[in-house]
Amino acid sequence: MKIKIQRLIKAVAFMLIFVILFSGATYILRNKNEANIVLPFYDEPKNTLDVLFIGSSHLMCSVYPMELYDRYGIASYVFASSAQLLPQSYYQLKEALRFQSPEMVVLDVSSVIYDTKISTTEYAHVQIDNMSFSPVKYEAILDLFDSGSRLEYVFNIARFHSRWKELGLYDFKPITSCTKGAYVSTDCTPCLPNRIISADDKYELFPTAEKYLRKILDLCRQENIEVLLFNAPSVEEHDSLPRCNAVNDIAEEYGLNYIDLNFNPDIIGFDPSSDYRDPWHCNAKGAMKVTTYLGDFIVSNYQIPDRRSDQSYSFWNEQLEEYRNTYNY
Amino acid sequence: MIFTSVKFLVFITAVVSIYFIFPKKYRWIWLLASSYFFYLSASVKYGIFLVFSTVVTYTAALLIEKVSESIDVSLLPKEQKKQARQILDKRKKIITAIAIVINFGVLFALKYYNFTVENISAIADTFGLKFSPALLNVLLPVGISFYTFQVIGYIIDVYRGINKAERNFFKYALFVSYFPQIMQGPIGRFSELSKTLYTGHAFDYERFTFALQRMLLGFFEKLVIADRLAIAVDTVWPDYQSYGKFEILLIGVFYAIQIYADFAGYMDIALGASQIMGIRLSENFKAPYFSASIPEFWRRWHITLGSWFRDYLFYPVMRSGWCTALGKKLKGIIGKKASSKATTVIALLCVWFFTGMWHGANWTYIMWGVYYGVLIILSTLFAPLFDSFVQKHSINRDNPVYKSLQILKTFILVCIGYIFFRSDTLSQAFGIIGRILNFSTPLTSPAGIGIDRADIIAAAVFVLLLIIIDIFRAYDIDIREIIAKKNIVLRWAIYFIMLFAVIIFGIYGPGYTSSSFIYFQF
Repeated sequence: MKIKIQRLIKAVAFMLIFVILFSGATYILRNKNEANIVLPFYDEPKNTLDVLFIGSSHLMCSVYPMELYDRYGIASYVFASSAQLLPQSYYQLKEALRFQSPEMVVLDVSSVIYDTKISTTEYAHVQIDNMSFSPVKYEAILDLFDSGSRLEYVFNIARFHSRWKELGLYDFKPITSCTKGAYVSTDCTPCLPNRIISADDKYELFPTAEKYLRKILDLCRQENIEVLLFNAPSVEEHDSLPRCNAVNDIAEEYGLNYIDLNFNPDIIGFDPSSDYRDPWHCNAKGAMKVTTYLGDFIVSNYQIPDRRSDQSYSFWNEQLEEYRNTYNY
Repeated sequence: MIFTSVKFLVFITAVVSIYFIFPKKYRWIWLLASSYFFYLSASVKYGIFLVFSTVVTYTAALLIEKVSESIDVSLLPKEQKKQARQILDKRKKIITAIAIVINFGVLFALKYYNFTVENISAIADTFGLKFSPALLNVLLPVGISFYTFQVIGYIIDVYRGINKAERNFFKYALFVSYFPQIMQGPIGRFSELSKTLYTGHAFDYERFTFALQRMLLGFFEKLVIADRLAIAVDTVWPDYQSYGKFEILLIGVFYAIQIYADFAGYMDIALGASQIMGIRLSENFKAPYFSASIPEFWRRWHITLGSWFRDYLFYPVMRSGWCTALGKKLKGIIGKKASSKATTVIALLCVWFFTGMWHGANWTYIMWGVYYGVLIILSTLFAPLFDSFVQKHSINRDNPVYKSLQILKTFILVCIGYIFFRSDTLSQAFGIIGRILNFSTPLTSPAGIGIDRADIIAAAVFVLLLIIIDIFRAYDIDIREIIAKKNIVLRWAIYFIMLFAVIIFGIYGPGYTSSSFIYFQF
């Protein structure tokens, strides 16, 4: 009997060590794309964020939460991932709500131009791999991927184990960032302005996009979260202008505000020749215009507290100082 | 269900767990169900051929035994005994022959029919005759070469009285279909396998850990070594004209290591999986690349196939009426010693022709088999000459330098053989040999070999580890027992290093196309 118990303990210990080593190896080996943008979200103290920005890289590049804090006292985070489509955003929001109870969600709707659940395997990995180990992650995997490819999202070491050749110091260091999910860039690609379309020029929403947009809105309604639908400036692709224009109908149905800065970029004085990092994303100059407009809009239309004088948010001031020391734009 | 797939890991976990829950007496039934599930998961159609072979040989074995028991020879008067024995033997022979013809017939039809008619058609064409029969368009059932040899071995053993016919059809069906060995061997003998296959084995902790270690080694050999080298081999081999002598020679060595790590890796997984349940399968390898001669190599490489050909083809040919008659005829012309050698040569050529043929319906395999036949015949014929040379020059055969050179020589000869084995056509094989021998071929080429420097270094380190493991195997030392005696920290460190070597350095996952085991195609 004693031997049996000893063996059982040994087996459990072996499994435990294996799980620890396996998790460590998984983390070290995995591709850390956008990890510095997403992972610091999990370091935010619970239930301290008032506004959550959910969406794709469009948001990441056009909204600077630190500026929103500095100018309006809004405690926010851009919990986004590149090429994240609305089905992914639904799970991103669910994941965020495990840690935060925001007053408001600003939802990026730029991906209504796609009718699929994910854009590419690579981008899907960026989102899923940066998610914490939770039931939401598994729910997302079950829903977003077919049975043949789910396993590589559960155990992403299957995809990334050959990265042993490329490992650098970065893979072993803890990931920190003070941008609160923003990607700050001062690069510039001069672009041409988008065509001008009328308010009636709209296509129908794709079924998948509409389904998950509604799911997100229903979830927010259920959780009593205000929603602002938003589309950041970007050069038109795949008839994005009339497609995004159709979001107005949903906004009207749910009684929500919808800001499409591609429909009327002049209201923020957006200059495509100087405000783009690349045709899809704003640079710091463009982002400042977008952020200021959004800040003004939020403050004037929603009840979001000013946290600048709140003692419990003093760490934000330290982070702001670090942010100012790191980024100059 | 490939052994290195997640499906197999789930399958074996389920099989083993339920095996030990089942009542001991009925555990073999669970194994039969699992084996058929395993085999049919590849294709249900394949199952028809498996069941057919099983039914035919099961019935034939019972008939052979019935014939044996039909007359009690011991009760007969002395003068009738011989005659009765002859009658019985003839009847048993006929049944055995029918069973063999049926089984080989199926194998021939599925594996060699197209090859045969294509060659006949090509010969007819050279004589201006038109011969274009229809070709068969069927997929070769997985493992058919292995289980056909296994069932024929069984029938011959029953005929020879080495083992009794199995009366329980389902037990016999398990012998034929037992999942760890059906796809790629080892080719089991009923007299051996039946000792442990049907007995319900209790769970044994030590055996369990040893079995898992063996499986882990198999995964390491296959995923870390074989599949890594396979990338380079598959890059260079079909495009050998773009490469220099150095790369071609290097790839030749890579292939030798790849095929060993691939096949031995499979065996370690198969034998390990079986060992968990206390069922012992025959060993198929014993550090073959440490062989000092080609005959020794074949005693250490694919042992169960070699012994099958020895017991069921070589000796029967040697003892056959026509071979004995030929020997007698030759005795009068070339003398006793030479005639005995001549019949051996004929039997050897037979064995090696069919050994080559067994691997596939392609002249490259036949050439490969014949190549070994010639090497073995030469080594047999020149052995006395070589012995006297060694004696005359007082060469110490136990000298490590001498032994190393012999091992190196054998390895080089084996690598030459692989040129035929790996090539798709004979012209490709001769093209590769020509490129190596041609003076105008550059020494190196700027073309990449499919794997980068990091992979080559990793492969070198892991192959070195495999060599160390094989040194232990060559001396019959179980490395697991040595590790088991070490303290827990060192022991577990070794296990985790091996485990994570497979997880990190293995060639698997979405970045790679999963590769099947080489011997699956046979």
